[in-house]
This record gives sequence, structure tokens and C-alpha cells, in this order.
Amino acid sequence: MENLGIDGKLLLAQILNFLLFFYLIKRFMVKPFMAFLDKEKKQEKEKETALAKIKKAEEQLVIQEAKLNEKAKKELDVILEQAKNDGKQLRVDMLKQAEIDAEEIKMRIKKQLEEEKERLYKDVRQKIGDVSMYLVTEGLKEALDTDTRKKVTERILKNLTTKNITLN
Amino acid sequence: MRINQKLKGELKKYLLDKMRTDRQKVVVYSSVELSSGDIQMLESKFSNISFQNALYRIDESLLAGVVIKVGSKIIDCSVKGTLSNLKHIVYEAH
Repeated sequence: MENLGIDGKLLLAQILNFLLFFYLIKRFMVKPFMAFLDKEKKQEKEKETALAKIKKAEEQLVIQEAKLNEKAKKELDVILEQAKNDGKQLRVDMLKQAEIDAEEIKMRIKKQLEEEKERLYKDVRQKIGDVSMYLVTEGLKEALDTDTRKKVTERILKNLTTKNITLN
Repeated sequence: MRINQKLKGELKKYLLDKMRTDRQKVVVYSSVELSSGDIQMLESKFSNISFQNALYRIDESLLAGVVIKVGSKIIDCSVKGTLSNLKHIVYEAH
């Protein structure tokens, strides 16, 4: 080997040097780097899993939202239908009440008119009576002279029956 | 305030007399002056009333007939009273 120009000791030292260098590289550089890569890979995987979970949850939420919307729509339809029916019923009730009120007002006005008519009739009757009496009295005042009054008084006294007369 | 007993008695007597007189007081109202015949007829018709001290007054608004007032009571035999009664009957007819 010496003839080939290879120094055995140097070669051995170089081999040892290489081995030492390989060991050091592997020990302090490759291993932490690999661990870092593994960790990154693991984190990536976890992220993907979480993302998948979120996606799934999101899908479920969308489905749930759709269901809720459907349910709300149905409830709204029911409420609207109920409100419609209530409105119809209310309208019928109001119409009925209005008819009753109108009938009451009609009756009241009729009664008032009857009373008013009766009152007017009474007034007119009274006025006619007053006027008649006034005319008769005035006529008699004009027509009865002293002699006639005397004669009438005599006649009254003559025909007077005291049977039914009581002191007032 | 005390009132003299004698004065009180006299006042009481006077008021009682006045009340008695007023109760018996007769006033005859007529539209024309009544003749003695009319007065006799009145006395004969109302024998329960004393016309001795009666007062006779003229009230032309009576038209004819007489109204006799005895105390606070009234006997209306006048045309005016008859018309008034007729008026009441007409009012209460309906």
C-alpha cells in the first residue's frame, strides 16, 4: 500500500475522521431536522383533520340551518293561516257587533222620535186648547153684555144643584 | 225674652177669634152685581153657609155665574171655572 502511495495511518485517520463527522452530522443535525419534519408533518395532519372536522361541522350546520328554515317557514305558514282565520273570525264578530250596535241605535232613535212626537203632539194639543179657550173667553167677553151676564148668572143659580158640590 | 202673660193671653184670644172669623168669612164674587133675588136663591141653595155677613165683590173676568169663597174653601160656579174645567178635560183626554 505504501507503494501505491497510500498511507495506512492517514487512511485510517481519515476513515475515523469521516465516521466521526458522519456521527456528529447525524447526531446533531439530521436527527433534529427529521424530528422537526415529523413534527411539521404531524401538525399538518392535525390541521387537515381539524379542517375536515370543521368542514363536516359546517356542512351539518348548513343542513341544520336548512332544516330550521324549513321548520320556521312551516311555523310561519301555520301562524299566518291562524292569523288569517283569526282575522276572518274577528271580522265576522265585528260585523255582528256592529249590526247589534246599529240595531240598538236604531231602536233608541226610534224611541226618541216617538217621545219627541208625543211631546210635540202634547204641546200642540195644549196650544190648541189654550188658543181655543182664549178665543172662547174673548168671544164670550165680547158677546156677553151686562144683561146677558145677569141672565146667565140667574140661570146658573137656578139650575145649581148643591148635591154634588162640596167645599174645596 | 219673657212675654207679659196678660198680653200673651189677649194676643192668643185675638188670633183665635181672627181665625174663627176668617174660617166663617164668606165672599161671593160675581161678574155683575147680584140682585136680592139672586142672593136669596144662593141662600136657599147653600143653606149650610151663612150669607149674613157675606161680602159681595165684582170680578168681570168670571164672565157669568158666581164664585163663593168660604174661609180657605172655594165653590166655583162661574163660566170661567167651567171653561177651565173643560180645558183640563181636553188636556187629559189622551
